[in-house]
Amino acid sequence: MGTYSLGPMPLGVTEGVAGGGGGSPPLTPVIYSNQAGFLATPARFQNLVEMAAQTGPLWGASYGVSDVATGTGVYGLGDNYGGNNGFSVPPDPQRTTYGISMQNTPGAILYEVDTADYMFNYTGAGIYPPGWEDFLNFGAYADDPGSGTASAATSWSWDVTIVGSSFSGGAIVFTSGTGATTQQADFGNNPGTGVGEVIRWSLGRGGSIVAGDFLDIQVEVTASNAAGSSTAAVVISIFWI
Amino acid sequence: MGWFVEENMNWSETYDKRYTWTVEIPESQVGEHSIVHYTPENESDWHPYFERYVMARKESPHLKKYTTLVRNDHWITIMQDSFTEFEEHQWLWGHATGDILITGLGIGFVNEWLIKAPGVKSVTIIEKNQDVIDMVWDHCAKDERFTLIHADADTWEIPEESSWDCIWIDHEISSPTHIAEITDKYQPYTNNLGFYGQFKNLDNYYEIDVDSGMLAVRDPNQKLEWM
Repeated sequence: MGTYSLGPMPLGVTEGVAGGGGGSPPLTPVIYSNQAGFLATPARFQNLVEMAAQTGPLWGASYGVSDVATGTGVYGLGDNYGGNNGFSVPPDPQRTTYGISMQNTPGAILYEVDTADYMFNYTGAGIYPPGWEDFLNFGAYADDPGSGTASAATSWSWDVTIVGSSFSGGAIVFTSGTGATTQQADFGNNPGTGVGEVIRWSLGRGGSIVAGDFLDIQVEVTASNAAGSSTAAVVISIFWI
Repeated sequence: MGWFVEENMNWSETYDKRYTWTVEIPESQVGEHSIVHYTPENESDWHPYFERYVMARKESPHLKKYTTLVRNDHWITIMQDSFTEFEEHQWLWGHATGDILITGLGIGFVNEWLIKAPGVKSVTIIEKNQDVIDMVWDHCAKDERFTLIHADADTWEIPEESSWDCIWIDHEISSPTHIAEITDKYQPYTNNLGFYGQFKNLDNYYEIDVDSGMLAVRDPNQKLEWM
């Protein structure tokens, strides 16, 4: 039997709080969708995470987070072959048809899903058995602005949290897995798992997710050293319309 | 394991008396189906889906015993007398009057309201599984206005000239295609067809008046914040 609390789950760390013993807490880290992007053209990959949806092999056509610099989809919601976590995304995720639009704002990704297309692929294409769980996993890289200084981070932890959801038909959504402890938690370094924790959902007795349902997810990284810790986060909002 | 309420979830322990019906169906097993009571004491035996359900839906197993209907090797608990189920039946609470058809007996959850709802003339319940009937019917709330039909709601031949003031689809649905098929089948027999789990954008949301046991429009009149 566990215990209950009426507030958010303690993170075990507090942003910017010194832990004593000299030195300075880490500076606020900056999240990039992956290390390769950070090393190449960081402005294009800042405040994004890679997303990979575990859906079906029949889903094709365009996908992607609109790149903040070019407006074109490069990294974003893709398909990793129904649970094959050995599949590395990107650079070549299978593509989905259900994405209608994506928008990037600082620290947030807004993503719209065509409900009818999504549900056809989920239940109507004859691919998945009853009880199939859809997955969404994330990859990211955290830059440490204090690297090489007294405030350099010495450890990292990633956390995925459902900060809001509304699912119809008895569908439920939950997190599972353990957060990664690597600064580079992209799919290049952690193929198929990224930041470690994943979002999972399954249909209920009502048999469908419906238009108007939504899911808000926060991907957070905590940088720590002996003097304290600091956090950064990206929020992904998915709307079924 | 532990449960926690996520940020921005305005959860309160006082909700336990206002937001769900409680059924009194004894534990039993017949064929592939079972009635199981879930409490903190038997948490290690909970169905995996129910473990996630209580977290995802901000349920409170520390406040009440949950009566659930489960089927062997099924990925979900089919029905439970939870706060979530109450909210997912909000459409029915606002339309249950006159002659009513319900697809799926489950744990007899809706009976708890229909037996005392003002203006209910008859309640016809279609249940496919004899196992469920054997475990539940003798113990669920009912009176002479309630009729049980052992049939599959998907294939049941609706008697000619039937009509109901309200039809509530409460059996397991597999897909949007299934929803469309059920809509085509039952829509001609009522002006009020509702489905389990569609609880958004309603005119009214109800809660149970603790003193009278009757439903009253919630104040403020809105769905639960986390649903």
